[in-house]
Amino acid sequence: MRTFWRTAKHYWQIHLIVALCTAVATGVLAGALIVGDSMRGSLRDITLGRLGSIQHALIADHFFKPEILNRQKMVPTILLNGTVVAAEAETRASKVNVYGVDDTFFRLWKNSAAPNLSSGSNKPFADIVINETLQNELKVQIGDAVLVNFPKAVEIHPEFLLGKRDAADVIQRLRLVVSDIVPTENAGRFSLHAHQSLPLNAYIALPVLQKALAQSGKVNALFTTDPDPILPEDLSLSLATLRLSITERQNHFDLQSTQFLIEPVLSEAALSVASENGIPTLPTLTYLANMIFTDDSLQQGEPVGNTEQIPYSTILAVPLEKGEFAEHVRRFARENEQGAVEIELNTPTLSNELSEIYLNTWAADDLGAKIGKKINITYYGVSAEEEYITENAQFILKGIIPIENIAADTNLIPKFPGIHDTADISEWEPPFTIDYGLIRSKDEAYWDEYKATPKAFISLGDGKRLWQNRFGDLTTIRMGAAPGQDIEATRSLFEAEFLKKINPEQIGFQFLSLQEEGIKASSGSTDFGMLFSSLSGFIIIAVALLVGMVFRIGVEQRAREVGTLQAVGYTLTKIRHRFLFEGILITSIGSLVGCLLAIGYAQLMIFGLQTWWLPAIGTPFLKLHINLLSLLSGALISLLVVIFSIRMTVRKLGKVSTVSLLAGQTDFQEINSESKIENVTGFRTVTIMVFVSGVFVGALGVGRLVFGGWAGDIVLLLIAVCFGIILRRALQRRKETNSNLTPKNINIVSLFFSIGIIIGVLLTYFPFVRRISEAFFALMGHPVVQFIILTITILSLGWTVFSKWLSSQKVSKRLSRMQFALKNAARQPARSKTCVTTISLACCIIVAVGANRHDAPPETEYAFVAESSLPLHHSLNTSDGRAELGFNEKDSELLSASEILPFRVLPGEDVSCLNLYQPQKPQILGASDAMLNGDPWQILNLENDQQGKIHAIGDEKSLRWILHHNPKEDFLIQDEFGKSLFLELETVENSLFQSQLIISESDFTKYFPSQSGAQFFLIKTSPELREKTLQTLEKTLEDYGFDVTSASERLASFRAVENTYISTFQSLGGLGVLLGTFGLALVLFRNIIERRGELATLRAFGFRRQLLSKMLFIESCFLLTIGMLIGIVAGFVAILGSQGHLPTFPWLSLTITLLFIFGFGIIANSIAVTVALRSPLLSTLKTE
Amino acid sequence: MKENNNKTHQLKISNLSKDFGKLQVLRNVSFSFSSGTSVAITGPSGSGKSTLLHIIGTLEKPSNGQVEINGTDPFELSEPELARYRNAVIGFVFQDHHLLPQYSVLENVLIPTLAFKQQPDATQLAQELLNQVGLSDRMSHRPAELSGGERQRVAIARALINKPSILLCDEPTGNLDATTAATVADLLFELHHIERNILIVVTHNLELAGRFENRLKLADGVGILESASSD
Repeated sequence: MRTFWRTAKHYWQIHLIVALCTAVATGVLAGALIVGDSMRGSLRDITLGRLGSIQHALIADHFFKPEILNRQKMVPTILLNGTVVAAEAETRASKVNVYGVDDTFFRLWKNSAAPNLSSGSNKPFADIVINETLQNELKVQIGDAVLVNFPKAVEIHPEFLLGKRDAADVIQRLRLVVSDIVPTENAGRFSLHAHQSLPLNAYIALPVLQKALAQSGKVNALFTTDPDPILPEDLSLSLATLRLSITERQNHFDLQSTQFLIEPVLSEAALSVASENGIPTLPTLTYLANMIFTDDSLQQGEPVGNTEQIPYSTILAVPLEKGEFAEHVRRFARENEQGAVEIELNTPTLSNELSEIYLNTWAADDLGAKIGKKINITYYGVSAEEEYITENAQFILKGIIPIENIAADTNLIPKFPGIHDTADISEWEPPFTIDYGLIRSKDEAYWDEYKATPKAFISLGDGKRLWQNRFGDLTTIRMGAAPGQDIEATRSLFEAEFLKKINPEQIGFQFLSLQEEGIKASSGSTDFGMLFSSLSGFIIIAVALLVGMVFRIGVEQRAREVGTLQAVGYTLTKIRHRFLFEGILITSIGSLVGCLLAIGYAQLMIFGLQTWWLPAIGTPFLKLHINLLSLLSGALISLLVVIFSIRMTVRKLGKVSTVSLLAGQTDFQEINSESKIENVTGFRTVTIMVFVSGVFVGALGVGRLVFGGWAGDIVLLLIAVCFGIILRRALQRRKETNSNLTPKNINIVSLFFSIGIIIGVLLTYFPFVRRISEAFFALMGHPVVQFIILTITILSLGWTVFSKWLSSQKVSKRLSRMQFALKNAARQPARSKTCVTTISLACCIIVAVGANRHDAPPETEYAFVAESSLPLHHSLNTSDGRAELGFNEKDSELLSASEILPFRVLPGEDVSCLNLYQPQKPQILGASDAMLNGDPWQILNLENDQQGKIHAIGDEKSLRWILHHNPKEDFLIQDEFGKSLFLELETVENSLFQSQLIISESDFTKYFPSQSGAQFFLIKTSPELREKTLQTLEKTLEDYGFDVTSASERLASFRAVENTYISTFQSLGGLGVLLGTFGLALVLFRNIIERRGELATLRAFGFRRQLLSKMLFIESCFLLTIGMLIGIVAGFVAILGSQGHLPTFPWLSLTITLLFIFGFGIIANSIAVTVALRSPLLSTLKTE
Repeated sequence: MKENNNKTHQLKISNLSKDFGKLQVLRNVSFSFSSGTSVAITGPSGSGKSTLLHIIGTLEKPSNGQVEINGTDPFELSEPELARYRNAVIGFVFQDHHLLPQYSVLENVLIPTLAFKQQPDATQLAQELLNQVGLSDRMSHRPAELSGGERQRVAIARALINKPSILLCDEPTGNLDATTAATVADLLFELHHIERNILIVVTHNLELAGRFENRLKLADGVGILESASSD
């Protein structure tokens, strides 16, 4: 140890540099890992802060009584998405989380004081509490009034025929007064979604919100601090929770839904339970016909006049062949056997194409219809754009039945909102347009007498074919008594069995483990530790090279010491161990210092992320989190890298003779050449390697792939022969230096290669090998692989040419000063090569990375991307739709010049690079048909053969880097009913859809039927109309929280993240280059010190100090320039080769970066030259 | 090879002293030589032989006294002028040849011509010199590929490339075996006769010193000049 300290003291400069380099490597690596820890830690802090002590949640897409969950300490809450408008400040905030809360909500955060929020029964306007972020957006103060818009709670889906979709019907507006402002932390930052951005939160007293929504005592979310998860079996479901009702009659009971149509999942369960328990059922579907008329009242296919047309009638679809209706028909037929013609029970179907219809006697009389006549009905349907469209169907009149029994049973008809309780038809208030002029007095008379009694009956199959939709295909399920039981017992049995059968997840309940999922998501979509480690990788390599070089200089300096030790009997191993031990001790000290540097480096990176590279994280939320394990890992890895580098240097010592060492010579360059020759002497190894190469080349079947079949095999054999000849010639050239390279051995090697190729070719006849071969070529075709291969090739080529030049023996005819200076670079080839390698690698990375930078504003065919907080149920592309949405004629005309593509939205997490959390449930968009043209969008229109699998499109980068999903594999999500849904993915690149996954609208409505309206829009409009269009849309659709942003800005925000990563990489790459240039300066300095004798000689021959400086400077600049040139050319060629074209380069920033590197190199070299030449040279010439 | 022109060169040293702090290395050394003179400087280690040689070669300044070469005191010249002067007037051969390993033999010989504007016939001159020192077949070799004697011959060729008035050699045969040393010495004398310059050689080798027409013996900083004729 004492020896070590003495040595360390004597060679302190070299040791100091080695220790510092190790410290830098440790600092950079451990610092990068700490950045990752800090990112995860900060995200975790946000998660814990936003969730407080909430562990689990029960969320529903509808309102329910909190009592359905048999758990203590539940916090009832209403969660809504809305907009808030501050009328006085003329400000608006959309995408606001509107929470209906009571006192227990704020107690979920131990450190948060409950804000001033009362239900305000004695005030004109109730209270609202907002967080600071929303306050900043709205610019309001306590006491200011705000208008809050949120979706109304509606029983009937707005997109169903009877659903209401006008703004007044779907948007609830509430005027409230700001009573308190809470900081955007803890409860003030509460959000279900994991995102680092600050949410806009508003809190309203629960009773106030319940009253406004007409959902007294109901909520749509329950939170618990209980660590036990909420399970589906914890829920006590009731028919009311399922929005169902049972009406018991004398000998049957009717199951109906408050949503008019019974949800398919519920109707299926009900029929299944009935079937399992032998309960007879009569499923029916009621619909409203706009008109019933005979063929006689048609002129040119259109109904005319109003004498033989019945307006606005109920039609009942019911099983015709069996059950109650069939019995009624048969009974009536028997009663009218004597000459009745109204029924023809056994007549065959009159037409092969038309379905059958029964009319009641009133309707038949009114139409004058006879059996066998064609009966037409028209009815409203709802288009994909949510417009009412009139459709029609034609039937053959099968029979005429009296208004009795089932034909007079209005209990089968669910209550039509706005219709069933009116005294006259003229008082109807349906959501669709009614032509009251068509209503005749006899229609009013029928209404007075029979109300909604159906006038026509069709088969249930026909009814479903015409009117079933995603909301259901039955309106009533009538059930009779089960065998051996009365109707009451049957009902009880059914109800119990039915509720048992329902899985709460199928009816819109979600069971969330918020704390667990939040912490899981905190691991982050991007591992910044790995990112920064990778980005810093170059610095580590540069440091390793530098340490190797510095250590080598140290060893060279001590060559005599090594020689002396050898001469006095030290074994080589002992000497190597001595050096290695020294190296380990020095680097360990450096590593310890590096741990401190790491903290500083991490702080610097965090500062960078909070300021210069802010677009990468969006919000400055990062705090330093030091993890001891990361610190130690970083220290250990960098230590290993550096020690490996030292080990490689020390290992070479053994190749130098003791005499040379005593003379102070350690010519590593010479050693390298020798060791290469030595390697060639491993003849057996060479033969085996050549054979394996042959098998590999053959198995790849290059020729087979190109030419196919036998022609390819022949080509391969020719390649083998050529290779053999070339190998033979090449080896013969080296024969003089290697006794093993006899012609016989050369022939053996060539033969083995040829045999290898033949075996390889034969192997390709096995499918497994062929698959490997194909996979290999597929891999080789990947642009990234091509880029890497090209980069390595060009760099290697550059380094080889430079190496060749260094070892060039050519004598120039005329030696110029320039040549003289340049040739000096060849004095220590290994050092020069290390410098050139480091610099070229760094420049190549900088160019290649810079090529992916997109500084120019991105171009897109769309002018805007718009999102609305509340769904739009009318089309923006039709004048009617625009009128319904509140646009005046002028604005409507303006918008008619634009094309607006609507998308449905399933709320979920942002899967773009803007979200730092690891998304679990991506936001899904449903693309309308207008979008599904061209590649790859049309793929969404294709049917998928497999059940539970649909086509989807996602952004390549989002899938790969944020969701960490291989796009070639199916992506699993859950549909609205809790079933697994696999998305077969196609990818787009650099699209506007980096935050979502996209499926077709038809798949969307099938798997997420309860989601309504469009909330995401792409807008195409001409440049001159853009500003006006933006203003019009945002102003008119203010209540919907319609936010329009420039599409290119949206793209730019995605690119900003990418560009920031690139900037980070470039900055760190630049730091690596600086280390490289520092190494270059060091080499130069060392060279000058070593060459003092030579330089003194030159001085003796009349070279001025200035001239010497100039030549040394040229020499170092030459190395710098060569290194940079090789790197730049390699970067450009690799990009050109892999992408097929040069991308739009950020020439300016790239040029500035490269010039900066060059400038730094020049300055470092100038300093090295000046310092090194300052010491007197001429004294070295003295012999005494 | 062209012979040196007939211009007479004159080296005059008057009362030359050199101190290194308290240590006085040279004391009042005086002598004068002209073209065609060869001088061996001998003396024990530390007697100031190399220091005297370096002062004559203008690499070191004397503490006192005067050096006059062809009537000019080089130490009165500015730094650039002195460099040019040294380049043109003085040639050096060192014990450790100080050849530059990265350059070929020919390039090494050409190096002094690079210090200032190179003459067009420099390469031809270098080739002739190498031919003269017997290395015409080793021009493209690197110093590492030459023997010690060959390296020293290259050093001599390099020293003569600018046709100096004074050729200064510091132990030129010090690292060579006796046979090689004799060959190198022969070459030095041969070229000296051709060039008619002033040849000053520092040597411990008394046998070699005996071959010079003048010998300057240095002891305790004092120089005693002996000429062959006086022997």
